[in-house]
Amino acid sequence: MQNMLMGRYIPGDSIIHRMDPRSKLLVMIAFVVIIFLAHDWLGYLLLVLYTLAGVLLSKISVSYFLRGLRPMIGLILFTVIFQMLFTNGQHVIFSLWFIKISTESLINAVYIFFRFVLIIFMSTILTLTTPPLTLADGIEKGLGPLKKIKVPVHELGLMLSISLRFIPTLMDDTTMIMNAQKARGMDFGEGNLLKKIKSVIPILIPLFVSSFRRADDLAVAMESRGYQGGDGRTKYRQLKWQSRDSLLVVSIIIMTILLILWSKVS
Amino acid sequence: MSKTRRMVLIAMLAALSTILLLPILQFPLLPGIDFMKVELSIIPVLIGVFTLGLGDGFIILFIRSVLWYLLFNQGPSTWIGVPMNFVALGIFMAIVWFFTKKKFSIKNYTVGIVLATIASVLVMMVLNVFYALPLYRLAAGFDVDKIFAGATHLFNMGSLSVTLNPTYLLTVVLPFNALQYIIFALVFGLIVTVFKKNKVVKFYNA
Repeated sequence: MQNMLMGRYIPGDSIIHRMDPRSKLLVMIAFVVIIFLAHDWLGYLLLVLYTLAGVLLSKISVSYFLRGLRPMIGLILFTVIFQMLFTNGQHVIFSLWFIKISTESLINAVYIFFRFVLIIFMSTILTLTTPPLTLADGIEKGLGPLKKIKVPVHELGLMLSISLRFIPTLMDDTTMIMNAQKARGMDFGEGNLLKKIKSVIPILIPLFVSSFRRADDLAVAMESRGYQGGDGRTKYRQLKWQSRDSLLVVSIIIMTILLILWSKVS
Repeated sequence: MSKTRRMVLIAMLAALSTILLLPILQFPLLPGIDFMKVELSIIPVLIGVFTLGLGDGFIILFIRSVLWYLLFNQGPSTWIGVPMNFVALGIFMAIVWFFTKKKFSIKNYTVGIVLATIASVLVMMVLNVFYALPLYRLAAGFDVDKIFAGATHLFNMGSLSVTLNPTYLLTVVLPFNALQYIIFALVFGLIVTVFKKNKVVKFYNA
């Protein structure tokens, strides 16, 4: 069940691993935006090279990235085939009944394919190279300016950290509950819609009960250690913005400028 | 309930909500149609609303959305879908809460569910027209107007083309979402009944 998470952190000592989570988050969000600036093969080539550089610098096997694509294969193929069949083009290269495939539709399909793959790869780089709790710290720090408008940033960060910490534990609970129900003759996903809904209830209720118990235990543990909120608290994990993080941000700015200039020229 | 307990419960419910996004815990409405799956991730959020309050329900929904981006990021479909999901579920739970906050009775719950379903489906239809479909057209080159006939072009917003497609809205968006919210209502109703009977958690209006 753990394998269902698209990007599980893989420990390493690459330059990407050592970067500040804020810079990685910033670049990933920027990348999702600038991918729409690419309109031709050169634009996509730039984006592919940028992503490839990230993959290589992370020193993580490509198989992990391909694994991240697995849940999306159906949707990607559907979208690519849709592009090929429904994009009208001048130069028809294949025609059968109502199906017409043109050079333009093929090129479009390739661009869409790369758009999906590159966004997923960039997201996967972020999650494979950043420990979940560091990521939560990065988000908390990133939301820092919202403190000025009385947003409880520390509390949000803490809740995010607790959630991330307990997802694997609750997954194990879910697996255990499902196995226990199967041993009692329960069939999941069998029968009509009503039966499927009914089959979910025996998983949900024990899962809620065990998570309420865990929440209670954790709250008692925190209170007994004197936790009283975010004011004046220091952090065990300190985030340090270094020159490599600035370089990463500069690299995405350069990419953006190049893509804007190229789209103006072409 | 102390502030610490409240925070921990919010975090735990957000984690539970995220786990319910796993494919293994989803089921398709129609066999074979894989993208029309119902996920029950709103159930922990609704439990949060009825044990902690509406504001905390929105915090659970927000954390679950952030976790969705981090753990289940599936490219354009996630980037476009999550904000829409947040808005629709937020409206759904707010309306259910409004009708049941004084007293959680079957009558109040039914009225709340019916109105919440209508409102959420309408919001989903509006968001599909002005937000999701134009963005999917741009981001994934996926144009439903090429599959479902009868689309009317409304206007352009920069490079986004906004069209109204009643066929798609009435044959796909409306039935799928309506059925989904009815399923949420049934499952949550069953869970509340079990929890009240066994005094698992205190619902302060039930």
